[in-house]
Amino acid sequence: MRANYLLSIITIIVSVFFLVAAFLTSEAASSTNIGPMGWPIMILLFTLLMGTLLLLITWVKGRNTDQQDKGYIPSDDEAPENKHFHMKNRHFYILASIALYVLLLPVVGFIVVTPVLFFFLAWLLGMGKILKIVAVTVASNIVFVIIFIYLLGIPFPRGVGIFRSFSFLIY
Amino acid sequence: MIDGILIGLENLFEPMHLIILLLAMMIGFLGGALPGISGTMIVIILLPVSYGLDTISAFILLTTIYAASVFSGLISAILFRTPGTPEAVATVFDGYPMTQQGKPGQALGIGILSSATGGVIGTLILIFLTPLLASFALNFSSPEYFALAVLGLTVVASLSGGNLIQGFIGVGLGLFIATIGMDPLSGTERFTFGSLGLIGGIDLIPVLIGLFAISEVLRKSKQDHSIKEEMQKVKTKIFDRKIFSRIKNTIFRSAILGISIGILPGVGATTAAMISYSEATRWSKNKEAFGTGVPEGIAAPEAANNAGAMGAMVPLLALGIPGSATTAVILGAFVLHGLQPGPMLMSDEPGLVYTIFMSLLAVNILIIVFAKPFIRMFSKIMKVPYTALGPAIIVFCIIGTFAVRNSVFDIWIMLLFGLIGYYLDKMKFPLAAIILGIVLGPIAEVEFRRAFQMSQGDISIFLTRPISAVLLGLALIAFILPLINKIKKTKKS
Repeated sequence: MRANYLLSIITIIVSVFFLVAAFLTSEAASSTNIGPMGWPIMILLFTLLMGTLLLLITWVKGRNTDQQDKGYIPSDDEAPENKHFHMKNRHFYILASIALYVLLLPVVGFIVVTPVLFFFLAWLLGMGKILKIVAVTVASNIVFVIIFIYLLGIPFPRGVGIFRSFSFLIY
Repeated sequence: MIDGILIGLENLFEPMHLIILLLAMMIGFLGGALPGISGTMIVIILLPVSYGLDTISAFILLTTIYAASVFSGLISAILFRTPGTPEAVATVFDGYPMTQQGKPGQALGIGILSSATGGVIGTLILIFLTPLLASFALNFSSPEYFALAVLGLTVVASLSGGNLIQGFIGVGLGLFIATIGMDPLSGTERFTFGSLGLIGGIDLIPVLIGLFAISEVLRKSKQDHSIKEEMQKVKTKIFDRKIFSRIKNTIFRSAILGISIGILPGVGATTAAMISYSEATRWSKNKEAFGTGVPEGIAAPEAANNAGAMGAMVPLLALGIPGSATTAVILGAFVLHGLQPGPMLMSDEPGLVYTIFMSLLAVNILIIVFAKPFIRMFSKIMKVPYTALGPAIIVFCIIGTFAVRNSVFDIWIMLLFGLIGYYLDKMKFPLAAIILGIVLGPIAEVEFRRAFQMSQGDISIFLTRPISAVLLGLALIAFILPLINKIKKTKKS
C-alpha cells in the first residue's frame, strides 16, 4: 500500500514536471500538425492519468481494508534483523563504490581502478581471505583485459599523468 | 525458402559462426542453469559485446543464448527444486520428486529429450510461418506500423503480472524515456536541459543493464553467500525406448500447444509450459500421479517451453513485435544494429533471418549432444561462489555499458536505473514494461506522426484502413480482456 502511494506520487510529480517543461518549449505550440512535443505531451498525460488512477485505487483500497501496510510485500531476500548491519546495507555500498569508480575512471584509468572495484566488491560480498580475493581479482582482471582490450579493442579511459603512462605499458 | 535455408546453412557453417554458436550455447546453458542468472540477463550483458561483432555473428550469439537458456533452466529445477529460468517453473512439479526418488538421471534425460524435440518442432514451424506472415505484412504503411506498435505494447498486460496500472505506468515511462534527446523528425532537442550527454538520447543498453542486471546483483548482495548447494553425482540417460513410447504423444501435443501459445504476443514460454502441464494432467488416465514424479509431468512443460520460445520469435521476425521479455531485448539488439525487424527484414536481409533460423534449429538439435557433458561441467561450475560471480557481473555491466558509445555518462545512466530497478523490483513493479516502452516508443511515435502527415491531421486514418483497424481492435481486446477477467475474479471472490 505504502509502495503504491509512493509510486503514484512520484509518477504524478515526474509527469507534471516534464509536462511543464514540454509546454514551456516554444516548438510545442509552433507546429501545425503534431510537433516534436506533441507525442511526449500525450505520453505524459497518459502517465499522469495512470499515476492519479493508482493513487485513487490505493486510497479506496486503503479505506476499505483500513490496514495501511497490508499491500507492502517485503521481498524474501531482505536480511533478517540479526544479520550484520553491513549486509543489510550492502546495496548502498555497491552503488556508492560504482559511483566512486565512475568518478575516478577518467582520472585513474580503467586498468588501475577496475581491479580496485573488483577487490572491494568481492570483499564486501564476503569472499573471505584477502589472499584469495587478490588472486581472484588478478585472474579475473587479466581475463577482462584480454577479452575487452586485446580482442574487442574497446578504448577505455587511460587516466591522467602517471596512470596514463602506466596504461601504455599494458595496452 | 529453399534458397534462404541453403544460404542460412552456408552462413552457419562458416568456422567463425560455428565457434560463436558453440560458445553461445555453453553461455546460454550456464545462464539458464544457474539460478539467479536468467537467460534474459545474459542476453542483456552480451548485447554490447554483440555490437562489436558483424550482424550475423551478433544474432547467432544472442538467439542461441536465448534458445539454450530456455532449455537449461530444467537442470536446477530438477536437481535443486530451483528453476534456473521462469520457463522451467512447471518442470519442478514432477522433476524434483523424481530426483527425490533417486532418479535424477532419468528426470534429466526426459527433460533433455522433450526440450530438444519441442525446440526442433517449434523451429520448423517458425521457419515456415515467418515468411508467410511477413509477406502479408508487406502491405503495411505508417498507420499499420503504428497499430502494430500499439499491439506490441499490449504485451504489458501479461508482463505486469496482474497489476495493470503499474504496467501502464512502466510503459508510459519507457515511451517517455524514448523521447529524450533529438527529435527524429525535426531535430529539435527534447528534455535535454542543456546536457551534452542527453542530446543523443538515453541509450537502451544502460537502462536495460541497470534495470535488470545491476538491480539483480544489488538484490542478491543482501543474501548470505556462505551457504552453497552441493550437487549430487548424476548419470543422465537421454533415450529410453520404454519411456519414450510412453511420453511421445505428450511431447508432440505439448510442442504444438507450446508454439501456438508462444506465437501470441506477450503470452510467452512460461505460460505455454504451465498450460501444457495442466493439459497433460487433463489428458492423463492417471491424473493423481502428477506431482509425484511422472515422466509426462516433465515432458509436457519442457516440450512446450522450448517450442513456445521459438514461437515467440515468429511475431518478432515477421512483424517486429516482441513475444516475450527476452525477445523485446533481441528487438532492441536489431535496432542497435541498424535493422528493423518486421516484414522488410525478410526481404532486405534474408541471409540474416535464415541464418537465425538455422542456428536455432542447430542449437535445439545440439542440446542432445552437449547436454550431458554440460551437466558434468555444471557440477564443477556450481562451486564458483556468488562472491566472485557478483563482482564479475558488475564489471561486465560497466564495460558493456561503456563499450556501446565509449561514454562514461552512460555508466551514470546505468547506475541510476540500477537504483530505480532495485526499488521498483522490491515493489514487484513489472520492469519489462519500461523496456517495452523504450523499444517500441520510437517506432510508435515516428509512424504515428507520419500517419498524421499522410492524412493531413485526420485521426480516422487509423480506423478507415482495414489492417490498421483490425490490429487496433486486437490491441483493444488484449487490453480489455485481462480487465474483464480481473473483474470476474473479484466478483467470484
